[in-house]
Amino acid sequence: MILEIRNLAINFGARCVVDIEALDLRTGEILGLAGESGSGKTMTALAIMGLTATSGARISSGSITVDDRELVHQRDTDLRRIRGSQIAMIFQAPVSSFNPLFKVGYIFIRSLRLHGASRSEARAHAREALEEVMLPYDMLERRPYELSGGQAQRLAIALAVALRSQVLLADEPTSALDVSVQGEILDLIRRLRDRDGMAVLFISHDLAVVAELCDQVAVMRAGRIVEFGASSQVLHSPTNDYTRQLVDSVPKLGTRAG
Amino acid sequence: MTTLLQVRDIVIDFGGLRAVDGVSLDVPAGPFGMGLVGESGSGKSTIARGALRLLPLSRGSVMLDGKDVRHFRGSDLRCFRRSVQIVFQDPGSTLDPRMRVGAAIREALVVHRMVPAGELESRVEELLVEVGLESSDGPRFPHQLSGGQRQRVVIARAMAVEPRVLVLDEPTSALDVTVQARILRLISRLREEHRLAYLLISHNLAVVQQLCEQMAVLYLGKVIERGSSRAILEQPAHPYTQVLRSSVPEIDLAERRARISVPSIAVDAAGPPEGCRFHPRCPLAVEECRRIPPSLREIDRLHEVACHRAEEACERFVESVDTAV
Repeated sequence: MILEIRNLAINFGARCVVDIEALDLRTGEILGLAGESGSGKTMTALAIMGLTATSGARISSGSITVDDRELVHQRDTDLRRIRGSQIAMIFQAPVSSFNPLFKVGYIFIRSLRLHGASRSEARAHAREALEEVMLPYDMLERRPYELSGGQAQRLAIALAVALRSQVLLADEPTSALDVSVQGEILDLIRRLRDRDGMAVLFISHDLAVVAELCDQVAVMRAGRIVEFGASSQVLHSPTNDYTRQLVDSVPKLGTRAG
Repeated sequence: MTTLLQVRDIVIDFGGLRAVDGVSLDVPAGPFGMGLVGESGSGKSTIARGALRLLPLSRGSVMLDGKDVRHFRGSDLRCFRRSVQIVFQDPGSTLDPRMRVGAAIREALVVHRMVPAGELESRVEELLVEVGLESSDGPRFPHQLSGGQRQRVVIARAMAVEPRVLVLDEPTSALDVTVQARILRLISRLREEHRLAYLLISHNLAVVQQLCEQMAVLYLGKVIERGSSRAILEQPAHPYTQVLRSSVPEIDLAERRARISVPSIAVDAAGPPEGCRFHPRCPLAVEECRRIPPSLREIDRLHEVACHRAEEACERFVESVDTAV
């Protein structure tokens, strides 16, 4: 088990917004975290990154371990070593994930250097990672606003690859992209899992995307996991009423739907 | 079928950038839905704004009931503005945060002198109820409502002036899926009850299938395929439409198909490729495609496509469906 969450409770003041008994992620697994806005999906991911405080929330109890190392209430200096190198996170708006003042190459190389790579190692890792996500090396000469949404998301993923992250937290990574570009990003995530054994926590409100990509799915509502299981099982024959309601709400395109 | 709104060969430029290049669409009198799909930057929203006279046309014309909308002045223009309404994606930014939602609806009624002053309040309440809100929701501010409720207010405000054509620009993209389902039901109810015609802009093909009899697929400012939504979604004939269609994720395993992918080449809209605009990405492109821009031609009843190689593309699509997992 690369990532283990136990009895995690997150509070906004007195209000409990996340209450997860147990959630596990294995190496080489894509786990979907599905649910509507406000269900606690993103807050869970932020807790894993040790970033709850940035949104004014607080982990009130529980444990999150990555590779058997406890993350909850660690000092920032310790977390900094884990963020990026062991866990990487990508976001919905990929262009705004990069500082617009810098060329992406600078951001890339600096991140790798901060995690201990030498200058030449950093360049070599960047080159390999860009190849893996199928971007040309000269992409690093561009500034964030010169990238398309799909290119920026590929770059964000390439950074995780370059840092050899074992866990990728992907928070609605394709929700802002065109459907054909979305397909490419999903293929890329699948390939990283297959080739590098990356573990992926895939947050999405789009159940069809979860059904196509994820091995397992946890459906969240009001901070709790209301249903968990193999995504084919959960999304085709949900046992929980709320999951069924979600599945039924998805507009279906199938020729048989007429 | 009489045409209510006729868009004829319109061209819209932003400086040197030609965002819409010779697009024609016919919207018959309602109840009727026309879907506009295509990737970001393909010109969907620009066409809708051009059709509503919110953007100047460089060429072409838009006719409502056979009258050129560019010539409307004074009371004719006011009447045109009333006949066409638009609902945007983000209901949070289309409502004034300092205006109570009842007042926002009331303002539309007053501007277009829809009802006598004495009946304003009761009409506002009626409209709130019609879109599924409480008649007592009028005094609330937008921030006190959820995203779905706000979108209902925006729809109520549009419906207040009894429009004949509605433009719905990604009306549910910012909403949760259960809320989306309810808004889609509201739209289809309103369309029947008010014999409404609408242009629905959406990146979600399933939403288009559900709400639109016809659809047009756009690529770099041109219509590349149009016709009955059912025909296009069952048998897309343009290679680009096939990419879109096969990229749609499906919950139902049985509906899943092999994704047709094409290289994503950054295309500069300011200098689109010669010949067919899709040819640099098209796996079926031949010499003809590089030289001659294809025009729309009928390949089936109610199904037109702008592709020299549509027949080959159709065959290939059928094969890809057969080999799907």
